[in-house]
Amino acid sequence: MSYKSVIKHQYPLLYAFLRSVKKRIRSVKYYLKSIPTRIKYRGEADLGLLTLAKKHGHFDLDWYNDHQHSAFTSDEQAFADYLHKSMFSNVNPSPAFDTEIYQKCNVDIYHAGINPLAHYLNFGLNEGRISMPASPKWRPSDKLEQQQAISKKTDKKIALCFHIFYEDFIDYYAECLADFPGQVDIFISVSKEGIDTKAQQQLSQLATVNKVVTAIVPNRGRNFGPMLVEFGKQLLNYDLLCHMHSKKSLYSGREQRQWADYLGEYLLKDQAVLKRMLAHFDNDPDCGIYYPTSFWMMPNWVNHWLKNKPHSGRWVTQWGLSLDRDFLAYPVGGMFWARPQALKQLFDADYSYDDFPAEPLPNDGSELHALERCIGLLAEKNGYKQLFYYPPLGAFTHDQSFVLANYVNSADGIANQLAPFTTVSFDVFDTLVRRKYFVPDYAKLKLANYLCEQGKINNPNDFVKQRNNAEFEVRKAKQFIGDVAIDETYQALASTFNWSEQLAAEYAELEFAFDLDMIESKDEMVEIANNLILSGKKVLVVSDTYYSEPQITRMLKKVGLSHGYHLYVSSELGLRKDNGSMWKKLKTQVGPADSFIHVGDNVVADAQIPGDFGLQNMHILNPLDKWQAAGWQNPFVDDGLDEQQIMKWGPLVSNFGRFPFLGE
Amino acid sequence: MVTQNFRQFGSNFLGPLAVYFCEQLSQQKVPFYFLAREGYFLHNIYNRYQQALGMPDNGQYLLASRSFMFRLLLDDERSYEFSLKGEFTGTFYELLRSRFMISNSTIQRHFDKKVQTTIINLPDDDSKVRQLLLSQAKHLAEIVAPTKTAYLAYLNSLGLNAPSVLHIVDLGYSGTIQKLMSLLLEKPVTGHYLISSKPGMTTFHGQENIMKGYLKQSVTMGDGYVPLDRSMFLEALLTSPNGQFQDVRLSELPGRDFDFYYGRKVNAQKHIHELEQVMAGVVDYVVHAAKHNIGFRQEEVESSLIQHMVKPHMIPRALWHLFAIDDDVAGNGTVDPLQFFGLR
Repeated sequence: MSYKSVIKHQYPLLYAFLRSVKKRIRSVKYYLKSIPTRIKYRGEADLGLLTLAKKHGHFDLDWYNDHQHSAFTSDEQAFADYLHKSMFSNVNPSPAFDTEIYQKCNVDIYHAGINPLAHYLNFGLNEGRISMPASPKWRPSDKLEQQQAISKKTDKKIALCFHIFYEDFIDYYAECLADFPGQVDIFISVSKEGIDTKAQQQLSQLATVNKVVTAIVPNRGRNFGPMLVEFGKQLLNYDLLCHMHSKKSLYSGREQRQWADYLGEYLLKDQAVLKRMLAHFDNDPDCGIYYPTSFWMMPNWVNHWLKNKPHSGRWVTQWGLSLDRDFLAYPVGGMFWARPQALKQLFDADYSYDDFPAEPLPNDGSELHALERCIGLLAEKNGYKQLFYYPPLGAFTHDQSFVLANYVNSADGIANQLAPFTTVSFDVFDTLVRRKYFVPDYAKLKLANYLCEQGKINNPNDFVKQRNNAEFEVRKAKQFIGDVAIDETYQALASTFNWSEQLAAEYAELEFAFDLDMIESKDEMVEIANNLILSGKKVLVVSDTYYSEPQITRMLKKVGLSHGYHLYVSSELGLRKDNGSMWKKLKTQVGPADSFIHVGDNVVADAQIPGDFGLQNMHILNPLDKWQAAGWQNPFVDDGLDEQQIMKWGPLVSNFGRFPFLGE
Repeated sequence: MVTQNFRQFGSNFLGPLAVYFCEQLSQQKVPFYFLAREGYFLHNIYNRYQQALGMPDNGQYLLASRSFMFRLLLDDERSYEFSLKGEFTGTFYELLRSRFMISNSTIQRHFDKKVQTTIINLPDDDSKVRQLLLSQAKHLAEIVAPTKTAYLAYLNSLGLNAPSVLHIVDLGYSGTIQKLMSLLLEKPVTGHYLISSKPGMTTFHGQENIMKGYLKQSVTMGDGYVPLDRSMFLEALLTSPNGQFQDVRLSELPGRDFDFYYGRKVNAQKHIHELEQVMAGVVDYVVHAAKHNIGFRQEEVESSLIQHMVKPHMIPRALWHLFAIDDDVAGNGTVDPLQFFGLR
């Protein structure tokens, strides 16, 4: 037992006195440390910035307090808070200035790490930079208010798990924990010797820290592996845990300190937020996990499964999870607070480093990326709720619809966003065209029903399975290189059903005819494409499909896109978007990457993969994504080919998804 | 393009509800009277549903409104428990004008200045107002007599006198018009509602009236049941081409029996051609459902309504202007549910 523990347990009064002395010393240190900041805001230049902001109506103390649930009593304090947070967070200073929009419209300022409002007032205004009034992109439906007073300190037994790769994060964590509203035990895994010593020395000195446990760990399992292998079962002894790690290059290889700061601020640094969060855990035994809403500068599709669903099998099977939607709430970046019991199965299992995939791992598509996405699902499976913090409104909420908050747009908005590009490409299905009953395989079932009526087959659903299996077999025979044409599939089916070549070709055409009959226009998107063509832009239409070029041309003609575009069809070219070969070719053909943008509904094939090739893209919601974004269940999750379900829900899903964003 | 959007929105917003309601009504096998104004399109939708099923249309549209019934029964004390319900502060003159739709000149002609300027504070002054009205019973009977004569003739022309039990259809919710109609016709009335606050049988001044709520029963405004708490969305769209029904007179023109009078029009009526497109979308879906034997469960209808009613971005901007209802009975003028619930 350490001397501190001895004093704490045997001489509690002395311990309290020593702690108060230490706290006073720390307060003095903090005061001294804060002098430069306060001098800064007494200084002419920064006071000048505040004056300038107020002069332009860009800072409003009452509005800021109201929107941040804060209680600053002076402009200087509140403005300093805003200046600090607006470097990494989408908080707004007044109704007149939207921090997020300024950063998104002026990404050079964001990448340079310049304060957005300071830049706007000093330079952006004169440069004619785009700036908009504050407008939260999302409003939680259940903005939670505290039912009970927020206690100053929590008596919860708390474990903090830090996985530290970059040494400088120790200073950051120490700064955060100096005033932490409770006592904590810290479990640290580090990548190399020396960091553990520094962590031990620096963090164990803090009055808020009971003990520091360190481990030097191999580079395997990223941040989750070390936590689970080294500390997993111990964590179940705590009331709460916080898991953090010191990643700087958190997304697609690009260093994003702002993202780390964003998570750090709302998970460990902002005392007001922490106290409110701890009060939620105190007041609501069903509150299982907490994290801030996904970082606002991430791609719109950050909350999608992306390539990771196939890697989720281990967790899904072990924990009995249900994966009924593609967009989901999860702690993006892998940092969160949780009630360990809410994630019991995660911590209760035995792990070794061999249980985790070896480095190097891909940027996306691994068991660890899948695990991150399963965290929230596990808590929910165990009957717990997820709690989120939304910085622009300073609001805590259980509302998960933030995962699609960036999918609000108008037809004009889409057109404006595409206007700067000289070449624009569009996906076909669920981008330019939609199916009347939404379900892509319904044409196959219609053909099957027809063949059944004709006495050619016995069971329509079996026929669809056989037809899809034949397509798979053709792909396999081609070693999954290139693509499959619908004719090839039906020629393969011919031997199964003893059809002539000609009959097989007729049936292939008939399947297409059934599909074509159900094709309807995505009106706004077709109009945008036509307007781009009329304005002289180069418009491409790029599709991964088993239909032929003439067939796709007929579909586009049916929805009013007749000519003026260049068609790239995978079945003809042997190139696919979803394996990157199409993008590799297009990249060489479309001129400078910044003059090209692709629009499509498939998160991976139309957004993530072209992004990996350095190609810009606009991801739009397919009808089912939008349907689920509105809060409705996927009606096709049990059986995608239940005709009664297709007839009932298909028209509603398709209608609702005609416009591919919320907010038409 | 916009027209198409309106139809699609109609299918999605009201389709599941309409299919559910039509299916429930269709099973009752009784002749229905669809109450104005919601009944206008409800009847139209139900008619098309029945047609698609190969069944006869057994419904008729019936002009009625709370204010009209209050006025019609001004000389019947039994109606006061409804017409004097709810808060009101102002003069007796203002009460007669706003709640009972009595014209300025009529009031001035029949009531002296002192009565007109008496300050009323409902519900506290309920008995005082009753006394005032009863003291003027003779005047009031004279005022409403031409209307009552014409309305009873109108009801007779629709065959309302024939059935022993009158079956009316409306969105709901507390059955005020139903009970007043029962008073007027002195016969039992069964109300078939989407939502009813007080279901079951009640004996009201000798008549056994029944209320049925097909989507939900026994809920009142403010209980947290979203489809009722936010029913303004439904009332806004399910309206008729005319404003609130306010009066009827026997027509003096040859070939016409009645002249009808309506209140001011709100946006949905001013832009009736757009509303008709929305309703065409509802009909599209209802016919589709009837042909393919599609039905909805209660929770599916509720889910559809709730998401539309509580989330922003669910109602296309091009349709926002249609969402305005007149709330003159409550003295609120025009109310926009999107604005009222913070969804704009």
